Amino acid sequence: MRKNKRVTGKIKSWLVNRYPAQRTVKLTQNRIFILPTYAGAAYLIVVLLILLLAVNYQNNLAYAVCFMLLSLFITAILHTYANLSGLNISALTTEPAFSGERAYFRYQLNSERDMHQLCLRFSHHEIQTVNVVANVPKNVEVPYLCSQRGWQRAELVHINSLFPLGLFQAWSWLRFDQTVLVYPQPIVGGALASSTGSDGHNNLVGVHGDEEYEALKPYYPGAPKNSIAWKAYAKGFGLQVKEYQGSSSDELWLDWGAWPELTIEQRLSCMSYWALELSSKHTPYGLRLPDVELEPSIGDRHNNQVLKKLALYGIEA
Amino acid sequence: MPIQQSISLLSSSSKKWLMIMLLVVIAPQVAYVPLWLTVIAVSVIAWVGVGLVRQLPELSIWGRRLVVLGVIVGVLLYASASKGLAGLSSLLIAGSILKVLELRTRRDGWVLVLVACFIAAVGFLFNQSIAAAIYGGASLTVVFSALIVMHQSNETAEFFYPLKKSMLILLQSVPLMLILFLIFPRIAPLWSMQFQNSVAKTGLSDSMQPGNISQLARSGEAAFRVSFSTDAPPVNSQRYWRVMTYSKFDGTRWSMEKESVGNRQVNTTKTNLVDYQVIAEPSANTWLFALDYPSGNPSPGVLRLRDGTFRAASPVFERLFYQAKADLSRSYDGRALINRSLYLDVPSRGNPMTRKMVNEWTRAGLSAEQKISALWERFNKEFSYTLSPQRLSGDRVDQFLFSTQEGFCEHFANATAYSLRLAGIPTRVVAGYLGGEWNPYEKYMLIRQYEAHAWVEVWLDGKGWVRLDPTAAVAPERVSLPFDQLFSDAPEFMAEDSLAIYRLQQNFQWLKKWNLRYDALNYSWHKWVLGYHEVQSNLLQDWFGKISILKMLLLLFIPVGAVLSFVIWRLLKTPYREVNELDQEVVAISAALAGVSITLARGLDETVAGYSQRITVVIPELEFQLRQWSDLYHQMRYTTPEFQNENDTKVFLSLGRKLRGNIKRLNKSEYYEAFS
Repeated sequence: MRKNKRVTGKIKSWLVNRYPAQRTVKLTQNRIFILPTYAGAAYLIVVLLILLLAVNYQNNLAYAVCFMLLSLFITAILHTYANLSGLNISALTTEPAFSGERAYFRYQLNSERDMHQLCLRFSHHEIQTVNVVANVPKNVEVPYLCSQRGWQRAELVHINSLFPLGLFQAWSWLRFDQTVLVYPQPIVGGALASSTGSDGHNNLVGVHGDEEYEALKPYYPGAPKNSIAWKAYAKGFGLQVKEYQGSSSDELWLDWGAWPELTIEQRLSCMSYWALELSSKHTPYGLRLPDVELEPSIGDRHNNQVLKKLALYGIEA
Repeated sequence: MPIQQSISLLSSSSKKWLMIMLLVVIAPQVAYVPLWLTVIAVSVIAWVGVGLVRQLPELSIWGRRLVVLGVIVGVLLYASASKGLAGLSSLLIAGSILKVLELRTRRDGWVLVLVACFIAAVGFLFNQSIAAAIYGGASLTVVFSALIVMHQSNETAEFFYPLKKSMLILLQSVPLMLILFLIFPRIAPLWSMQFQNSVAKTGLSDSMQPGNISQLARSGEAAFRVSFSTDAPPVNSQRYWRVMTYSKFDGTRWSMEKESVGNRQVNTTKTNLVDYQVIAEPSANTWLFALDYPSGNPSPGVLRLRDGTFRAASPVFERLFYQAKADLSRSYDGRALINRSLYLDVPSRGNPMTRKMVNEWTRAGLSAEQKISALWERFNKEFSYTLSPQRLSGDRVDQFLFSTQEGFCEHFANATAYSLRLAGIPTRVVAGYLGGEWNPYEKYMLIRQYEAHAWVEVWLDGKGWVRLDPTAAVAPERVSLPFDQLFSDAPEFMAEDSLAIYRLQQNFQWLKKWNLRYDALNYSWHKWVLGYHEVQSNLLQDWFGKISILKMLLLLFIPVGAVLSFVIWRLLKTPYREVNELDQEVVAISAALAGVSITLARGLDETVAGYSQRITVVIPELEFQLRQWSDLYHQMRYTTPEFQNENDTKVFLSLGRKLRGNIKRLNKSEYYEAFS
C-alpha cells in the first residue's frame, strides 16, 4: 500500500513537471493514457478459451468468433480513445466553500464530437459523470473536500472514460491554474457580546412583527425574503425591503478579543459561525480583527467580505 | 488502473439488454440441452424481465437457494451422463441463468457478457450452416449492444442506438478478423476430442439384410460432394461410388470381411484416369467413397483397402477432404484371386428352388458368362423394381426369385450373389452410391443418401473383378436416370417431407435451379469457410508464393494499419457543419477585405450590420453597396418566408460579386499603410 502510494506520488510529480497548470486544456494524444481494464483482461482470457475450442475441434467458425472478438478488442482502443480525444476543458471560477465541506470546482467541457460517460474526480473523491453533446458546452462541478482555510489550489483532476465497451479505460490527469477560497469551518461556540449593551444578544433572536417596520429601502442582494415588501411590489413600486426598528440601533461586533481562551483557528471558526448566524437573521454586524476592521453592515457582499477576511487571516501578506 | 468499476450498479435498461442477449444466445442451443433447463432458463429470464417493468415480489432467499441447488445438481447429473458438448453447453447456460438471479453490479453484467461470447462460439460446434453463421453474427451484435448499454448513460433514450453502435464497431473489426482468419496457422488439436454430435445419420450400414437400404432411400441428406479436375462429370451409368464390399454371407446377412490395407499399386501409366476431389459429410463412420474402380492411392490420411474401397483413419466427425483417381474402364492388372473360398461360401442348405435352378444351369454346361445372362434373362422377364417390396422370411432368395419377384437393389444383389456363388462363381456384394446431381454453378456433384445402391462383383478368370448390376437388368432407368426423377411419382418416395420438395422441383424448374444455386453456395461455404484449415496452406502459397514470417507480418500489418487509420480518422473527424449559403457569402466578403488589410476581416463576434458599418467608416466609397448588401442579408436571413422575394438570392449573390469586384479594385497599398 505504501509502495503504491509512493508510485502514485512519483507519477504525480512527473505529471506536475510535464504539464504546466493551465486555464484551458485540450486532450490530445500526448495527454491521453489508455490501458485495458480488468474486464478487458478477462475478455482476452475468454478469447483464448475460444481459440482453444477452435483449435481442438478444428472449427473454423469458432476461429472466426475468436478473431472477431480479438479484432474488436483492437477497434475498442480507437473508440475509447476517440471518446476523450479533442475534448476541451476550461476551469471556471469556483464558489468559496467552508473548510470541512466540499468545494465544487467548476469546469466547462466542450467538444466537436459527442462524448459519452466522462468521469471526472479528484483522487479519493466522488465521481461526476457527464455526457457532452457536440458543440454544446457542458458545465460540471467536481467536488473536493476542503480541510484548510485559505486559498486551496485545485489538485490534479482525473478524467476517464470506459465508453463504449468498457474493455479499455482512457484517462488523463489535468492540472488547472485554479484556486478556491476556503472559509474557516463554522463551529458553534462562544457567546457573542454586543459592544453597546448587554441586551444586544437577546435582541438578535427577536422576531419582528409584521407591520412594525420603519422605512422601505431599495432591495439589496441577500435581503431576507420575509422582509421584502411584497405589497409595495404588487403596487408597482419595485422591490423594496422593510427596514425594522431596532435593527440598526444595536451594533454587533465580531471581535477578535471576545474569546481570549480560544486558539486562533478556534476563534476564526467561532467568528465564521456567528457571521453565518447573524447574516441568516439579517442582523448587521461588524468585524474586528487585529489588522482589519469592517464596519457593521448587512447583505451578501458584506458577509462574503467578512468570511474572506476570516479565511485569509494570517495568510495574506 | 481501473477504479470503482465493479461498484457501479446496473441500470434497468442494461438488465433488459442483458436478458435479450441471453435469450438470443441461448435460443439456438435449446435443441441440445435438456428440456427442463430450457424451461428454467426461460422462466428465470421472464421473471427478471417482468420484474424490470413492474414491481414483482422478490424471490425469497430460500426460493433462490432452491433454484440454485436444483439447477446445479441437475446439470451436474446431466453433464456427467452426456459426453461432450451438450454437457458443456448446458453447464454454460445453467451458469448464466444462475448469474441472472443475482444481477446487480456491472461486474455481474460482465460475467454474463463473457459467458454469452463463449456460448456463441460453442454454438458453432453444433451447427455450422450459413444460417447459423449469420445468426452468430447477429448474436454477437446483440452481445456488444448489451455491453454498450452497460457503459452508456442511463438517460440515452434511443433504443436502437446501442445496436447501431455495436454493428458499426463490429463492421470496423471485420477486416482485421478476415486477415487473422486467413493467415492464422491452423494447428492440430492439442488434445483429442471425443464428441458425438448429431451426425450419426449414415447412408449405409456395415451389413446388408434386404430392407436396410429401403429406409435409406428416403433420406434427402447429402452424403458427399465431388469435384472433378476436368470439371466434367462421368456419364450417369459410370457414377458408381464404392463404399464397402460384403463378402461374408451367413444365409440372410451379408457383412464385411476384415480387409487389409491395400496393395501398393505399381504406378502403371494408365491414361484416361478420372481425377476427383471428395468432400465427405460427417458420418461418424470411417468409410469413404471411391469412384469405381479406384486407381492408385488416395491423398494421405485416407487408406485404400484391398477390396478397392477407402477408409478414413478415424471416424469422420468433421467434413473430410481427399483426392483420388479412378479408372472407369477398370482394366485387369493380372493378379490372381486370393482366398477364393471366401467368395464362394454359402450355407449348405436352404433355398431349394434356387439350388435346383443353378443345378439346371450346371447340367446344361453353361459357362460363367452364360449363367449370368441366364439369370439376367429371368430378371428381365418377370421382375419389377419397387421401393416398397413385400417382406421376406425363411428361404428369402427362393421367395424373391420365384414368388414375390419385386424388390430394389438389395434384393437383386442378394439373389444374384447367392445364385452365382452356388454356381461356383466367386462373388461379393458392393454397397455404395449410384448417381449424383451435377451442379453447373460451382461444378461439383452432390450425392445424396437416397442414392445408396448395392450391386455385385464377380471374379471372372482372365478379367478379374467385374461389376454386375442386376438392378440395371430390371430397371435400366435406375442407372441412367437420376434417382429423384425416376421415383418422383412413386408414393413411397414421396412419403417423407424432405423429399416432397423434389416432387415440387419436377414441376417448377426455377425451384430446382434455385435449389442448385443454394447447394452451390453451401458447397463454397463448406469448402472455403468450414474447411478452410484444409485449403489454407495451398491457398496462401498460391497467393503469396513461398510463405515466410516476414510476408505474413507484412500481410497482417499493412492492411490492418490501413484499416485502423481509416477508422481513427473517421472517429476523430469532426462532423461537417453545413454553412448557410448567405453566410458563405459573408465569409467570402470578409476574406476579400482581409486581402486588403487583415484588420478588415470580420471578428468572430461581429454582426453583419456592425461589420458593414465598421467597413463603411474605413472605406466610405463602398458605403452604398455595403448597406444594400447587409440590409438584404438581414431581410433574407431573419424574416419569415412570406416576406421573401423569389429572386432575392440572385440579387444578393450578384451584389456580393460586385462588392468583391470593387474590393479588388481598391488601392491596396493605401489601406495597407493606413492600418499597419
